[in-house]
Amino acid sequence: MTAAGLPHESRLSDAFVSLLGRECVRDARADEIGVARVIVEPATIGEIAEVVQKCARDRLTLAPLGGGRILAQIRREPVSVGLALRRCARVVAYEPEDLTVAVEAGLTVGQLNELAGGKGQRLAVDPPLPERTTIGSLIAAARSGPLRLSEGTVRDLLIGIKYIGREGRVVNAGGRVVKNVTGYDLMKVMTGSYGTLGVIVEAAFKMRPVPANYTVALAGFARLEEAFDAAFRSSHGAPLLHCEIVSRRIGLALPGSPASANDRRFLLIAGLGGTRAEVDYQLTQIRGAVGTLIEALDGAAAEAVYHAIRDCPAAEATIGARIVVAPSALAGALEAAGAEFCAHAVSGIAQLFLDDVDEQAAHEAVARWRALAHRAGGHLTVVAARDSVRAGLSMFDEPGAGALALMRRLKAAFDPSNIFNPGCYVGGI
Amino acid sequence: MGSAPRANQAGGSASPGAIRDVVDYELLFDCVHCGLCLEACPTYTLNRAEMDSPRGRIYLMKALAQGALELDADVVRHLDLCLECRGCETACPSGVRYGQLIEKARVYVERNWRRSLRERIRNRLIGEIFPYPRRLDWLLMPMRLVDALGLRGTLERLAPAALRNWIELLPAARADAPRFPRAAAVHEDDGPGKAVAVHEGCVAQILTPSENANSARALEAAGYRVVRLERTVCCGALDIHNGNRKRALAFARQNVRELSRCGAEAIVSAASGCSAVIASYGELLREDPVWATAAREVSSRVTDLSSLMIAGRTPFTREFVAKVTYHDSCHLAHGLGIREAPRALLRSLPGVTLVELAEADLCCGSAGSYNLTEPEMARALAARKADNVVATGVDYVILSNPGCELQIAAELRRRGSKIRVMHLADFLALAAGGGEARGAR
Amino acid sequence: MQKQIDPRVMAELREILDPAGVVSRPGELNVYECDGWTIEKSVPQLLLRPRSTAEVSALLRVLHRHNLPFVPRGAGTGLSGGCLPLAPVMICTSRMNRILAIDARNRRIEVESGVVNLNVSAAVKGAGLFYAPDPSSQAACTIGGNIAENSGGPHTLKYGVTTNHVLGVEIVLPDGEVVELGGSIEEPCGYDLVGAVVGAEGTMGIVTRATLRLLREPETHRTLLAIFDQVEAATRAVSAIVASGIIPGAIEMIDHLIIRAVVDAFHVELPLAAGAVLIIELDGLGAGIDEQAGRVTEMVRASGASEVRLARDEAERALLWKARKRAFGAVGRLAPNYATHDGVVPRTRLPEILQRITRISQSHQLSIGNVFHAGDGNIHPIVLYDERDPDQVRRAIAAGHDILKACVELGGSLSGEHGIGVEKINQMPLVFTPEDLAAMVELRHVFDPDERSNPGKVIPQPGACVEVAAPRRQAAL
Repeated sequence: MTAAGLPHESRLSDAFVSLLGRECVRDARADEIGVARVIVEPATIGEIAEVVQKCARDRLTLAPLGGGRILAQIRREPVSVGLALRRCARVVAYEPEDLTVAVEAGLTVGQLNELAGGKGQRLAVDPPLPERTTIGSLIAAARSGPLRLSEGTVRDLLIGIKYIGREGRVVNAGGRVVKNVTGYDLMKVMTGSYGTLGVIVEAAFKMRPVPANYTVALAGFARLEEAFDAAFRSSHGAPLLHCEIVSRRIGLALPGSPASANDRRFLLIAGLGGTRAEVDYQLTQIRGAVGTLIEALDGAAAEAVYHAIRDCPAAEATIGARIVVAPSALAGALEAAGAEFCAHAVSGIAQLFLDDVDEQAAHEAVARWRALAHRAGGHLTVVAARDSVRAGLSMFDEPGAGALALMRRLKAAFDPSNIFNPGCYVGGI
Repeated sequence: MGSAPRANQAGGSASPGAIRDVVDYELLFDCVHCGLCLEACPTYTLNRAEMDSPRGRIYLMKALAQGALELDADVVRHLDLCLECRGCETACPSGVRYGQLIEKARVYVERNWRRSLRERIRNRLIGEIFPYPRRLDWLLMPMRLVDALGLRGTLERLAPAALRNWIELLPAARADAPRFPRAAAVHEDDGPGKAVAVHEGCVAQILTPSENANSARALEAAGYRVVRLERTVCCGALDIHNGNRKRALAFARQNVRELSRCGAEAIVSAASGCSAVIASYGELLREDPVWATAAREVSSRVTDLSSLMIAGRTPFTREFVAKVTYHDSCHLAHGLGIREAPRALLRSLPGVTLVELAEADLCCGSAGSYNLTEPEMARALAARKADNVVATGVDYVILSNPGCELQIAAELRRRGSKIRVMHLADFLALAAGGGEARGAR
Repeated sequence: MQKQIDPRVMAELREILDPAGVVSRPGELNVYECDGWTIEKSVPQLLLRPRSTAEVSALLRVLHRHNLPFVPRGAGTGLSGGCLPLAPVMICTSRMNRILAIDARNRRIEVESGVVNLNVSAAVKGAGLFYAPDPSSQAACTIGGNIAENSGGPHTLKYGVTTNHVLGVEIVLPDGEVVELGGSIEEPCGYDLVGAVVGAEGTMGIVTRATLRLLREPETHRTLLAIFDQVEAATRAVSAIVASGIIPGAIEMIDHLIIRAVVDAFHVELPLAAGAVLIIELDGLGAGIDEQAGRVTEMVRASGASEVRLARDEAERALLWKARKRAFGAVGRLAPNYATHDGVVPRTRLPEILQRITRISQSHQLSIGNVFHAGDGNIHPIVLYDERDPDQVRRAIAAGHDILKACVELGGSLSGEHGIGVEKINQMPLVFTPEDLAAMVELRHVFDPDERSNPGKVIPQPGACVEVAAPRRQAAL
């Protein structure tokens, strides 16, 4: 659709004002301008459905915004309508005794966990900046953090979903029970779909208990290979909550500047949870496995370190990317990447980034990283590119031909008029 | 063929075939078709087809009984291929008495199916020779000569394929078999003192005579009183497996008479196949007007060498360093449910290290005369067993049935393996200092 | 009427496989007319047993050209009729049973889809690893079947079901195209199509290979047996444990009716007068486990347990699990026939669903026993009946429907692990709207636009409902 065919901004917002009322429609803020031309903020799922119906009728493109940060990176041109779900942020049902929760998509992970914390529980997915991450974007962008090692990801904890699909159709899948094989698993299909298949409006999750104690064990290494060996040995010796390896810059920036970070290039940061006895026991196991000096932090110091590694600064860098490879291949890839990084060391996933590079250097870096990912049987997604370096970068990698053909068919089936966040996902979907 | 699924016709109107008079029709319905028997069935593990699985065979029997299926070469083939190892009974959660079902189905097949001339001759040979030790002894005379002259290899090369299988199974003359030492003096008082009968079987008497003898001596050393049996005969296993029920019953009656009369409180046999059959006499002679009660009594006394040895006084004082593995003979494990005792006994021997065998309770393919009637499947199973044995890296494979011994030994010999296959009784003799077996390291 | 396979097509298919790979004689095909769901039966016209992906692909290309539907089959241990042949051709993966690669460092294993579940764990035991999903049929069922049904088992409370452990699959689409989805990596590139295929009950093509995630074996176990006078107290205990922040490996419940059967069958020492028992298995680090076991014991007692026993050794633990896993078989001792159902409710609603089941039992005048995965809220009511009495059969079917309806009313679902298959296909509208179902059909069409892979399963089609006649006994879980 060409720009000439688009209704003017003011006409566009008028149309939605008459649908939702004045207070639910606004102009795009400065950071949203590249994302959507007009922002609507419906207050109910019914209103979201109406917005989608209207978009379908008028062939207007739309995208759910979440915090807006991800779309700002991946969209090349704005969609007509941006859906902000901050008014759809209710807790639909929290059953602490069942360890399940159902929430609307506009709630943030931070808000949910503040509520659940009172019951000693949490949604055990920990993307960077949870207080700015909505449930909708958590699912749509399949975000995760260090805890993925022990608790899994959205994919493992999402037990039910409601989304608005083609023609404004409300679709449910799954339910609110922790074990369920009734019908196809549309939760998986929506997870990581980046708003291209519909607008997620409600989700149900398994909740997890917060461990009684949390200790962070740190060890510094001169060589990356050593750090990874230690990570694999540690995770085999103890059921770690998380196991991260960070490059020097991240290590030095950790709060309380742990001694281990000072003289070594790579820092291993393992999280231990459980009863006091269990934590102490695991610490002994890790000491045995790593065979080097280990620093252990508890309480607030441990939490501070955890927050720092969870909120890896890759998303704020000049150029940042997420590499996913076979776990044993990660060390080699990082060695050759020539970048700062935060790695989920035994999951084969890392965020790579460079600051203060020019366009050419940024593009070369992405090409190099991508080649490394492919060689290691994986793929690379660009998660951050400053405006200065962004032109011409493909953010997503290309799946295999057979898989991509299926993905195109999926997009065509779920969004035949191609209005849901079009043109910026894998293979140009 | 209609597309609509048809309703189950269990017990329905289909005209009942004669098989309904033979198999216990109601027993077929204990099977709930859950499939847990599949991987416990040796023929399924190799063929991977339902027809060659226990629940598949039960399905065939049911279809025969309901008149939905005619007895044909296919059905006979699938029923014939069953080894009657009863691995499925161990796996079955519903307590299906598969052994009983297949035995009776075979009776039905033998009555209603005309086999090829070749099969008839073969079965006749097996049936007329094996159960009678003297006939077998006579038949084997030439082989002894061949062995004495060292011509076994030549013979195996020259013999036609069909015969070669048979020859390869025959053990070489066993002058060097270990012998349980008498030296370990028996003190009647400190042992259990219980009277035990060692049923000598039929084929075992000729092919592996040391095993019965060593069983008896080991039991005596452990403090048991071993009673002599006068007139026992073949347990009837071959007839049961081959559908010759009439002679099986006759053998059973004679054995029950003898085993009752001897006053043994426990009954063992070096052939666990025989033990399991004796343990089933109660069921077999359930309707016998004269012998039903005695048969039940006899059946209840059946146990095995290892269980008795563990309960007795240990005669093993000297260290015998060896790495061994243990193969579960089907009828000991699945028939009598004895798995732990032999392992515990082996572990208790000073110097002996027991390594677990992968698929230890999967049939080796011997199965009575199965390796003679179904050589192809038998060889495939033997190969699988040998693969697992070789992977353990042991010096000895211990087992409790002569059939398994011949079968596994033949396969290992073909591969040029140095691993010794030994009956538990012979191994105990060896461990107690009763002479070195050839090949032991 | 089902389409008759043209003899020329038959010949084309034969050419692809070895002689043992083709079964076409009616007597032999008869054996394949049902799986563990034996109420409905249908004989395929042709059974194909390929040994490789290439063979599967070649077969499907021929079937595609002639527009013939097919039904994929693993070991046929499913409990909802997932591989009931409602198509002329059946394709069985049981001969594709090679373990292709074990990668201990990455904790991955790559297998052909016909590999038996238990053999996966057996293959990696030496490396201190295991494959977590453990359906009770694990000694026989195949990974391909597990993927189709998204199978669970007792230990899924802590470790999750099949979908949580499948990283990649190779699938042959109904037109014969071979597609790789996912891989040995933790996050897919693009849509999570592996997640769509797992649990699709074979309606998207034939999975021929899978890359599975392995877990490290827990250091140690503690297995507790808690005895209750009242089943309600037992369900309260379940909620208390789950809410406390301790996640046991498994929490299983057996009620008084089943206790009777189990004591008879396995000679386990359980009090016949007990209203219910819980088997609670904790696993984890040696360092903390006794403390946990102590806390669980306290909670269970506080909920009203009259006695709590700790399995003293591996043999006692094994006996408890044997009694649990084989409880269904033992039920055969209580009645000539039984039907096992599979429903889910939120864990805290267990007391209510059990009360409802009691009422359903009374109103239909049939005994109903319960043995189930309490920690997951996944119930398996067992309805006892005698098929020789047609009225009882009718009541047994009605009772099953009522139970599932009650599950849905209490916020639960139709199936926790047995799948929809043909068994519950007509109850799908209890849970899903026509729009929900339409979206699911659209997903299926992405893979199988002509609905030729396992037709007649999962999604109800108006006017095509399967007639349920007389149920036979059914095995369970």
